[in-house]
Amino acid sequence: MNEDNRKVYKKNVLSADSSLCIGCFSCQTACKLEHDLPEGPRTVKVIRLGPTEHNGGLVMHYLHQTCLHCEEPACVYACPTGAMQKRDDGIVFSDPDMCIGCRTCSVACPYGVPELNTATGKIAKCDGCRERVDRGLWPSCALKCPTGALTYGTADGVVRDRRDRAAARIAQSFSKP
Amino acid sequence: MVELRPLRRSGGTRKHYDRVVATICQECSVGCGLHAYVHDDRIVDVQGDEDHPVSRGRLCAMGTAFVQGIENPDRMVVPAVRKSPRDPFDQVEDWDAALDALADGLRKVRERHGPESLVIGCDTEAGPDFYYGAKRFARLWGTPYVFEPLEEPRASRPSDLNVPNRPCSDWIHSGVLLLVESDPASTHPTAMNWILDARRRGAVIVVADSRFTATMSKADTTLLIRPGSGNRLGMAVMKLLLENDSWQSASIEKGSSEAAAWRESLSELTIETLAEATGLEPSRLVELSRILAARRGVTIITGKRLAYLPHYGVWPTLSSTAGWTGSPGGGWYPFDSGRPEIDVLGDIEEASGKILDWLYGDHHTLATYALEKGLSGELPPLNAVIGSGNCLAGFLAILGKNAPAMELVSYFGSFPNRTCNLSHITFPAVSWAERDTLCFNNDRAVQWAPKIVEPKPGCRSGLEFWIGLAQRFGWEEFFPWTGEDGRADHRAFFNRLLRESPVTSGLTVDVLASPGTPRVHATWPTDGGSPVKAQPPMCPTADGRMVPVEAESPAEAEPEEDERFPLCLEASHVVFRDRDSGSWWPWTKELLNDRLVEINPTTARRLGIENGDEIVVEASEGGMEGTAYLTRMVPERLIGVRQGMGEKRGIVRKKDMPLEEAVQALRESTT
Repeated sequence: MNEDNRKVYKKNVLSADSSLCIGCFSCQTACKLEHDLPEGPRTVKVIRLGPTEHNGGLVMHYLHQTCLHCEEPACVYACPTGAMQKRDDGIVFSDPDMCIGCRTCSVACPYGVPELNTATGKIAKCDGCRERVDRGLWPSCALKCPTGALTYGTADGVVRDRRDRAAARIAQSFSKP
Repeated sequence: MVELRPLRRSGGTRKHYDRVVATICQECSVGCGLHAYVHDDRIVDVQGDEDHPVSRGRLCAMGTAFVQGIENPDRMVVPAVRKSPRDPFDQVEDWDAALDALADGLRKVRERHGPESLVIGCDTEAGPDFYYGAKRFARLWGTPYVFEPLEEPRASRPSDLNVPNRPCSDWIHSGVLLLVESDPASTHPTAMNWILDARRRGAVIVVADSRFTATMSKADTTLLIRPGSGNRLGMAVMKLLLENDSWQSASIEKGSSEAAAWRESLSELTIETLAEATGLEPSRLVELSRILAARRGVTIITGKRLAYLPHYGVWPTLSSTAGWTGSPGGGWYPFDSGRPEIDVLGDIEEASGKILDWLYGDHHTLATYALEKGLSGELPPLNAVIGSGNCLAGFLAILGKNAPAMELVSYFGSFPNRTCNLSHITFPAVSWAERDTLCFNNDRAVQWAPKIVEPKPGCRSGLEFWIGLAQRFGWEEFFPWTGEDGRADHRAFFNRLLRESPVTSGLTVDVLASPGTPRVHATWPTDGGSPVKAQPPMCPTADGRMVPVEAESPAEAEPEEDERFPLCLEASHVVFRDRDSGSWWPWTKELLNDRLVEINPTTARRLGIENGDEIVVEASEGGMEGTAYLTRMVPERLIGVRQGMGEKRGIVRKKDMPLEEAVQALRESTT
């Protein structure tokens, strides 16, 4: 494993498991409260897909959407003041003290993630709960997800967690009549 | 065996705080453990209590955002009065002046129309002290009309069963979870977490509902049934399981002394009738009964709506007869009916032999009954309302329609909602985070929930409201819970409640509140501990006696067909819109637009409606405007509205389309 890859594996990631998401808005409200956001910016979105017809019945899924904290973040390169930054741990965030609210980052982002906080005139986007994770705490959305659809940890950790859960599910299915 | 070591959750707050209060979230009736971080008597952050046996550290959107209701600029903190709902409110100096005005108004209404003209609507938001206080006041006053959404209709209780209950944490041992007209993913997300856990451990999840719900999206089998036919689904299952000898006779005998009677009464029903009533193919009913018969540990989870419909007793009977009750992961779990039997009226003589508990039907049924009989002169007309929360737009919407004609409407609550807009006098209420209280939860457990912050000046609890009102009629001796400081002694009141129930009689608030004891106490059997004898459904009459309400034939499926209003209306529940405070967050509308009216794409096409069109929902009495949202979440015959309209049938049309044309368009396309 080269040095770059090793770094990636040590970074913390937010993992969203759609099979556990029930579209309850908890992550969205948690983020609004954590960052004192007004009506307008939606730093976390859960999108309902369906119901659509499938095999004669209906199926429906929920899709969790937030900043991807890109490895090569277009918003950071586009920001004219240097407010938008990428930390060593991968978090892409906008420093409100330097942000002038010009929204160049919103245009640059291929996903349109950065939005304007109308109360402050600054950019609002997922900042990975950097102040929380610096204290060793989970990001607010993951902590307050009622079903565990959102989890947080090293890339190694969340993948191992998923594999364990899948293995447990298979093992359980053998133990039931 | 695979050892599952879930990722360690690392909780806490980054915000500055000076104390942490461990309490119970009261936004709904799941009873989640909550830790609130407080700085200078303001809540700065909340998180779930990781050690709580029900919620395991989880909270939902309501439990996370309730603080928005406390600090909300729209919150009312001063009592106010006005002559008519058309006038602006005048704020009054203090509670005493407002209570004087209410007492004067009530006296006048009583002189003119008698005591039965008073209705009290107890929203759960107002707390158990408001409800039990209301029951006492109503008996002293002489009115039978005390409504509360969590009160269980007596007639719906099983006649011969004393059903032990298991908590939702027991679902992980289930082989099948059958959810009927309940959508915990939308209404009780932390309870839904146990369902997802059960699924992970191999349980089969079956969901039957009249619309496609968030819970259904996680189910293995989904059954779209006709609105209001859930209890009939239970009868169909029972019939199929009995006929196919899926059960041992020993378990039937053990489970129910009336099994023979059930078998006989079900013999008259054909599966075709029940299939027609539920809107399912007979083969799907058979498929369901096979799923249930093939697995051990079947738990049936029923929604609150079913409790107000005939044949609700089928669920505990089925569960007990099949031997599910009492086995690990098995039984019957009704949502939103967690209350032990508490006799709060033992020391008050009945003023005039009036019946105080309503026994049958939903709130609309009895309220409509009382309204109609009042209008026709058979009962005293309803002319005064003491309403809490947003009851006149919620479970008493039918009264809300008539409230403008009433002489006195008073409101105990926090926000300028519809109930407030209809009222003459308003009393600002404390939030649940500002009061010490007992909590009864869906697991049928009792917990003690200390307040997090001090109440806002000017806001009072339900108990203080009733104590103040009772004093004005000389009934202090029946409301003796006043402390040395002149304020209500909530602990003494709740100690009395605990004493008055056979299942909690050994408990005191001190015991419940002591940190060393387990968090959840004193679960009680599903029927309240004291079996109620079978009796025909009843309503009170003017002379205080009971008359049976005509029983409904099991074959009738849904509200009778109506040519003018061919579609069914149903309020869709979303976690944060369920309660009044959730409607007042600054960004509620952004998360979910309450103007959206859900229409099936096929129905919309017949009516020429496209996504985003401005539309009108019409019912026999009144209508509402909205924006069309085309989705398969609702079947063709159903319209999903965000707020209850107090109507079960209606039609939707484009704003510029005449009603007749819309009815015609639907008729032509379906024939």
